Amino acid sequence: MALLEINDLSVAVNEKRILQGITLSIGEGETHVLMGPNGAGKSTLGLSLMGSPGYVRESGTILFDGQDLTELSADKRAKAGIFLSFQNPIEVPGVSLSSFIRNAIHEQTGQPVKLFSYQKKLAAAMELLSMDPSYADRDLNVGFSGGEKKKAEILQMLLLQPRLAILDETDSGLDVDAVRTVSQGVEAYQESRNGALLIITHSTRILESLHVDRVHILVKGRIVRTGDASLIEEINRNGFEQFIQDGDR
Amino acid sequence: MADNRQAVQDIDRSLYDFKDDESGQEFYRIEEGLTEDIVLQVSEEKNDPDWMREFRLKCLGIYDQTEMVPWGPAIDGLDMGRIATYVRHKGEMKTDWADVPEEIKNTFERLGIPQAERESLAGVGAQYDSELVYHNVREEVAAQGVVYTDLESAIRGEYAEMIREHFMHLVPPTDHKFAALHGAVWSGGSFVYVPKGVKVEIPLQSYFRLNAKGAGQFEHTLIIVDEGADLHFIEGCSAPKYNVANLHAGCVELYVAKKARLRYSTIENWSKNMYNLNTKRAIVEEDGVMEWVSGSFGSAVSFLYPSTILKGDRSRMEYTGITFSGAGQNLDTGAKVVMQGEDTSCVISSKSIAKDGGIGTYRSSVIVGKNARRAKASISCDSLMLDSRSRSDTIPAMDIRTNDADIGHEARIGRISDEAVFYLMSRGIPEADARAMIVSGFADSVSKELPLEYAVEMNNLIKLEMSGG
Amino acid sequence: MNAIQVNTLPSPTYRFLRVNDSILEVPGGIAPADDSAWKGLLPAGGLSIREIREAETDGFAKIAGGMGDAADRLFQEAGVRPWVLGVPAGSSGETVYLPVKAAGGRAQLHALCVEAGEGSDVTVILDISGEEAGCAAAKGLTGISVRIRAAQDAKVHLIPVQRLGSTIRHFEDIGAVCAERACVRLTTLCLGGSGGHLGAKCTLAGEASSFDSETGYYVRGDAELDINAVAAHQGKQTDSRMIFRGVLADRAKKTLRGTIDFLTGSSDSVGDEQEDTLLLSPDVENRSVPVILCAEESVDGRHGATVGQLSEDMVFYMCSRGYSKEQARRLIVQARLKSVASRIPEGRLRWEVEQWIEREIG
Repeated sequence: MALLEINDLSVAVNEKRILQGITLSIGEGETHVLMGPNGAGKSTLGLSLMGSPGYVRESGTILFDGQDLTELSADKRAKAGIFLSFQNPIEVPGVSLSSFIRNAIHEQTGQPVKLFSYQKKLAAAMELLSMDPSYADRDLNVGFSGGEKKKAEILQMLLLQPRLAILDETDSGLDVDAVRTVSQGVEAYQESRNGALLIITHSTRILESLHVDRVHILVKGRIVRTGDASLIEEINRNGFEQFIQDGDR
Repeated sequence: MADNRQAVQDIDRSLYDFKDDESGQEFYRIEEGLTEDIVLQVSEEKNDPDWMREFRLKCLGIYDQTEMVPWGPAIDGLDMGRIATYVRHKGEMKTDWADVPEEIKNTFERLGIPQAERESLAGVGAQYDSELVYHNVREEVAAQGVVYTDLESAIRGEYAEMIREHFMHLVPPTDHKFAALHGAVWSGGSFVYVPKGVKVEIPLQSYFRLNAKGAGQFEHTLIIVDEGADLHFIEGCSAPKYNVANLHAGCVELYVAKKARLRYSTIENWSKNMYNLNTKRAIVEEDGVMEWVSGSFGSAVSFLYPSTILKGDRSRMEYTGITFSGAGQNLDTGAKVVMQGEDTSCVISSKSIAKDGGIGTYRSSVIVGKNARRAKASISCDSLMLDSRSRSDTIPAMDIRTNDADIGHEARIGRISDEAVFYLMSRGIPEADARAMIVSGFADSVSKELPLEYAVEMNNLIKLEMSGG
Repeated sequence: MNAIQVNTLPSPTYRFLRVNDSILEVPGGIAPADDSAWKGLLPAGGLSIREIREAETDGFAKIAGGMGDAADRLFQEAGVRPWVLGVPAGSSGETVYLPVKAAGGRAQLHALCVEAGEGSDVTVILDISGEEAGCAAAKGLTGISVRIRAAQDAKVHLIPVQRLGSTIRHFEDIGAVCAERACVRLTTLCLGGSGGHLGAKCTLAGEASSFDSETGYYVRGDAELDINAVAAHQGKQTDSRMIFRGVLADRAKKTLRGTIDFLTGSSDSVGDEQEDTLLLSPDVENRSVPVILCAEESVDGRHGATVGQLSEDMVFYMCSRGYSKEQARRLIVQARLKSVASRIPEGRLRWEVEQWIEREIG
């Protein structure tokens, strides 16, 4: 049984159907990529999996580790082991990055977090991501540049150690070095946790140094093609044109 | 002896509803409101010098003739009869622990207040042993020449003249009705004098002086910080203070001399039957700095506007405050400033949260005088509405009488963003905790200004309020 | 003279500030003006101007104006019968130009009701002008009342432009109510006169309706201007925007009360109020009371006020482009008012106003 099993899922936002009949499964430790042109509904899938209010499941099922996610609120899904790195992380004034993550760990594990060892882990992860240590005390995402916000998301992923991490357009807005750094972070996650990944992207930069198991192409809310890593090469060469036509068929 | 018995009878009758007396005896009627008699009795108990007794009587007269203001929360629930009795019999008027409302007891429990402290806060039983801590602090600062004592005894001590010169000059009894009431029945409170150039390292706390008798309801605090000196004074505490006589008409007068600095922090969490009509005012001389930090969580009704007169050139004021109005509360708070000197500046930053039908009002006044050249003022108020049963009103006002001023004001009102809640939940934080976290974050600008243990207390209070406790 | 209480703050505050309301002195003999000339001024497009019908009086009287009940009573007691401008449903883009002439030394009242049908679009310009000679001025008072009912999807743009001589007092009392998706725009220019009261209240009753108001004022000499603006959000998703740009010179006095009122039920509404006031002399008096009242959770309300002198940075920037300090200052001050004037439809009036601004200001 796969870690994540999505079966014939249809999702509407603001009474408009965005995802149609999505079927997809991700096994433990696997790395899947979801690609597609802008407006295909990629972020919608990520947000639906995380349980964002406003994303209404019209039909189909989502099973995580055999458990039906439908009735679970976002925090319960996080506790179950799902993590979403947001495309546009929200600013949370008055809550420091460091204490926020520590609190989240506490919530998810139910155990108090020993300060000293936490701070060491935090510092190590920040160094891996080339993040200035001063960010730990800054209010979460407040005044962070786009790139720093994305790094802060990956930092959270490294410290929360989910079983499935969904990365929504994590590489957009990052310069070449930052993409490399973030990739390192993602690799570290894969290794330390044998974590599964669903990487949502419309460019292939972040995928260059990662081992990818499956690639899914999403066009107008439908998965029009699924294949192995060689699909990425095809996209790089020919773009999404032919798949858009496929979608229309 | 006979007097005492009569006094006890009075208390008994005031605490219960009158019932028909089957024996056919005449009832002893409690006078409504304050009388000269009561005021004179207070004066005698306090062993007032003549001038203070005369002053109290004058205040009573002013109180009787002054009308209540036509704006702000209604004060219909104020029972002046009960208050009159409380004033007269404060010493013997103890609440029975059994009578303390469950809600109050629960809050003590959840804030982890030790039992002995609980009784003191609830107006029950003996003195709190913070008296000991108080004495130790006194000795420590006395070495620097700092005077930190209770006001009542100071009136007759070596500082009598200084006190007489300052007492209710900054807040005259004509200021408003409850300033006059305060002048007539004030009792208890602190007197602090910091000599020239002295920096007091540890904050002085009025909490040290909390005890069953005073309960701080008509406290008068007079603080004089002399030239170049520096003091942080903390008033109140996060635990709810309960009393059946539900008026807090305190008065705080702060004198900040040239180049001196005073920070006055308050966390107020009076029990939810209280009417909090506290008047606080500071006057600042050249190059002086006045900082207000204020967290208002309690009372049924509050009228609270710390006000500052920036008299000296280059004097400054900063106000950081948060008000949390929950069910059954109508809290009207804000700040007032009068800019008189040249090159004065002030920054007012206020946050307000309303939930469960609470009413929160931010009310302020910034007056820039004709001669307040190059005055700079920056005011910002942020309000968070947590549901549609509550109310949050922002009523700031500016009166500027010179063109050589730079005044900016901004206000925002809104709700907790759904996106922010979802973001926190996606990290495993349950919804209620996520909301509490966001509200705590909202209050962060205030908790940052408080000493750590107060900040922690304040955050606990917020968690408590958010969990519906 | 009778004194009436007007421009009352919806939620009063400290009395010592004396901003809770204002007194308007009204001469005893105040009487309705003769605006029958308005009938002949209509453009094509099916619009009509006629006297108010008995059956309509109550309806329009129920629309709350910014100056308050006492002003309403003043008009009633003086026997004023408002003219009704009827805008048929669907009619679009017409501009109605109505002159309001202040008569020498007299106290007069003008009243207009605008009934905008569904989906209609109309612009109504009130050109308020008049010179006054000698000291008969004290008795002179020009009062204007406008009530607007905007039906669904209607758009009404009201533009009162006041260029009175420096000895004439005046007041404008405006009230509007919007049905679903209706929009009322208000562009007020208060450029002359010896003192005035402006009151404007828009009740956003219908869902997704909006109120967009810009006021530009220039007060000088010993004139006093008193303003009370209220955006009352009743319906869901309603929008209000109230901008005040002004200049105070000499010994001028100004009081501005601007209230955004979110009533319960107005969820997802947005209200924005901004004030930008320039103080040109040390003897001016400026009072501002920007208020937000809120009884609804899901709203976004904000206000901002900047009061003070010309930004030195801005002056420096212009000097670095070759302007003299004087020129720079004059331009910045004028720009403030011109930005409001740019909302007047292109034409003679706008040109005249811009000329007036360039000539008289700075």
